[in-house]
Amino acid sequence: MGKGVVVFDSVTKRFGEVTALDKISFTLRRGLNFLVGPNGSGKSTAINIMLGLMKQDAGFVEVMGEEPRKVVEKGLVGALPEKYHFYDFMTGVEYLSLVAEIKGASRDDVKELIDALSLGDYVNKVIRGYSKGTLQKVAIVQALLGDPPLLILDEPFANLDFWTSRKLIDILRDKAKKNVSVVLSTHALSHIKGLNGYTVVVRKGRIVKVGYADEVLGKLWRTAVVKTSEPEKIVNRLVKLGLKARLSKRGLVVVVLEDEEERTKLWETVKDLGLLESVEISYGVLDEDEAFDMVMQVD
Amino acid sequence: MIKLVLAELRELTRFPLIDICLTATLIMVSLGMLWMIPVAEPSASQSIVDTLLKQVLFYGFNSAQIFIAFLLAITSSLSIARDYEMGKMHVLLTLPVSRKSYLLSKIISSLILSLVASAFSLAVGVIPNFYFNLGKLPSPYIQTLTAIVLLSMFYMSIFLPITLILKKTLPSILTSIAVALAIEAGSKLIGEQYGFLPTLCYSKLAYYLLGLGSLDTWVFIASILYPIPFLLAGIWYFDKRFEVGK
Repeated sequence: MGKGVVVFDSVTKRFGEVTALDKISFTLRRGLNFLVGPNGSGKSTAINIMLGLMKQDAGFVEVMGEEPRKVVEKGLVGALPEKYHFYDFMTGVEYLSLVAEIKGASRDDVKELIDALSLGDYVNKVIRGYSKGTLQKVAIVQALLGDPPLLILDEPFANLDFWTSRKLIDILRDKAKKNVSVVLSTHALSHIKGLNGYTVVVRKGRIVKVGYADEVLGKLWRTAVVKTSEPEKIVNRLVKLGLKARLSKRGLVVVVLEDEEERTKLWETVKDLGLLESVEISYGVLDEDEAFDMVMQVD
Repeated sequence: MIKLVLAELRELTRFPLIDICLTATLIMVSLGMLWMIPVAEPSASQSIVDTLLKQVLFYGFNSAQIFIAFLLAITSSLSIARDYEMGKMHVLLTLPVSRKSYLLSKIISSLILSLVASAFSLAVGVIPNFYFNLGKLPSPYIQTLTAIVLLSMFYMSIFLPITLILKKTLPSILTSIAVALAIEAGSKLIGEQYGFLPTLCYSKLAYYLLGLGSLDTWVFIASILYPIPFLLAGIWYFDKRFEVGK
């Protein structure tokens, strides 16, 4: 049908009474693509359909011009599914070598990726004892093995430390330059800041915005979500200072910061109110549905 | 697929399988002994120990093998449900591995294991038999092994669709056990006139394994054919309808 790397046309997916995807249509392109939205927005369902793990109830889906499962079975997709588990009695090296053999990659490729993601000596230990971060690295190495022309990664930054996340971003940027298409889903926008990929913003199974990240995510990137015991006080003070701050029903303070000066104002307000020790501020994280909605509504 | 089968074999042997098989053997041996105690009357030339041992070898080990076939079939479906619950299925099906290959690797590895476990159990019976010179075992070894593998395959073929539909470990095991018991009860209730039913075919096979009857050729052929529609239905469902995810 379409000429995109991934084409979704009026795709609907229901789980009983819940509509996970509601007639969504988008076309992803060569290079970097992001699927963003808060938890439960339908990102993983869309990824599962792209990977051929699920079938849509209605609509049309095409990956690299074919039915998703065929493309995956041909080895053209490197995947990081939402949920994963490995042969945990094997060592990391043993497991990745098995995957390399299945994907037709060499042992040198395994070693190269192990080094790139700093898996270090862990790879010689049995997978059962791995931390969540190390398991995530193994899952990413597995996806990258065999140099597939399309990478579909569901929340690849989950459980990764800052430095590994940076390394992964570099790897993905390089891949995109080498004509590899990357589709990644995330609810933590800070990780993809500065990467101007094609972005689809989803919310409750529907598309909210589509376009390049700079224009679509600009406001979301600048968003701070403040968890505090005195939300009203902070909101009142910030509004008086001319900041775009709102109070959510769940007592979260959502602030869209235009520049560094406003960021400083936010911290000064928190400090003045004596809340420095109890406050929790996160930037560009969309795990609260309500916060997401509020940001999208702020003019 | 060979690599997957090998990996699955390694995974399956991590279940407390050998322990279960040995325990099953011991339980069956004990049952065999209990069964024989009231009727065992030692002849002048045979001590009671010899008689008991003989009966244990006759009834105990062969019964154990039927139990092992059942356990291995359960283990096979359990490993599929576990793969689904833990997320290993998600990973394997996003590699260049077809759904059919994934399922076949499960089935083949379970069959290999059932063969090995049955051979092991049989060996446990054969060695003391020769040592005590108790005479011939009720059925030829190769035939017994073949029948055990067929029985394993039958159980597996009916447990497979159950697991694929229910997806979760505990409901799958409980339903599989209930179905297996229903098959057993069915064979007792329906009676000989419906001998073509799979329940009775496998009951005859079981009796044959116990050395309590002969085995008609058609029963043997039916035993081979019966698992096929169930297996094909399971493979078709997994290939076309089964969804991995929520």
